[in-house]
Amino acid sequence: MRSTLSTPPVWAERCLQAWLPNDSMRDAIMGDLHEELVRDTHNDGRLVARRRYRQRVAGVLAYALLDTLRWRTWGSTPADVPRVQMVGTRAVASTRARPRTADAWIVLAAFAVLGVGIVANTLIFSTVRTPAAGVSVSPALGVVSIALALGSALAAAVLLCVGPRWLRQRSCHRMTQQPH
Amino acid sequence: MGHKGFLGEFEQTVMLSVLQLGERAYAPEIAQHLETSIHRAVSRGALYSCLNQLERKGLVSWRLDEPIEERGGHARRFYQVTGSGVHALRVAREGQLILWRGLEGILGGTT
Repeated sequence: MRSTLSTPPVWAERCLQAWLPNDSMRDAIMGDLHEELVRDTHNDGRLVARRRYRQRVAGVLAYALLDTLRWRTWGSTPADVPRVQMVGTRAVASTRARPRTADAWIVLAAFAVLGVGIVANTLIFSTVRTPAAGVSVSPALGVVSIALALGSALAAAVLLCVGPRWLRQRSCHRMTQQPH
Repeated sequence: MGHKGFLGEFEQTVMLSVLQLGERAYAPEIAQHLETSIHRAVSRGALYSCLNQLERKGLVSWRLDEPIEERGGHARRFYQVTGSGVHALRVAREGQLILWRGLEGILGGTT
């Protein structure tokens, strides 16, 4: 009978599922953290075990984010490869190397989106501050300007966070479809 | 050999722990082994990041075990050091021994 006392918090598992790529590494990490939670609950009690679990999840997510910023992708195998012993072969390395160039394009696209937002915001702001003679400027334009700035910043952030992962999953998916 | 050929200190530590543990080398065991043997607390994030990097460099490989109920239905990943990894460790040890030589008077103990 599975004890609910040593069940990982749902929010933590969802964070791991959302951030880590969907492959055997994520599966192993979630299993390892769960196993340690069970062991710590048995040895040190529920409160201490859950505190340690939260700290470990935070540490994993922090390092995963740091590695993403350094273009070091987590997860090394295609999602569907079952129980295959993988080593760092050239074929796997070259497939993993391919998303790096695309990652650079994603970063450029993110900066472009941000740049468009900044330029548009500046134009609107300058129009609001120095309206042409006889032309009344609606206060809503200021709201639009702020929304545009926030929207472009959010879009750039989403591109940076989700883009590389999406590319990785796409290249993993292509790898599983290639005949061996 | 350029900087990419050298192992970092933490990489060496993890690889040595993997060799020590043999068939039982998976992440929680590696962390516990380091904590009990050399009293070094290891962040799980740092450990997974290191193992990921070692695997990308071809210095470790891994195999999956069967999923088990106690782990929420998730499988274990057992690591082993590859031939390239053993060679890298030998090179690192030789470098360390060369640098440690003649320093017994300052550092004490034997090398």
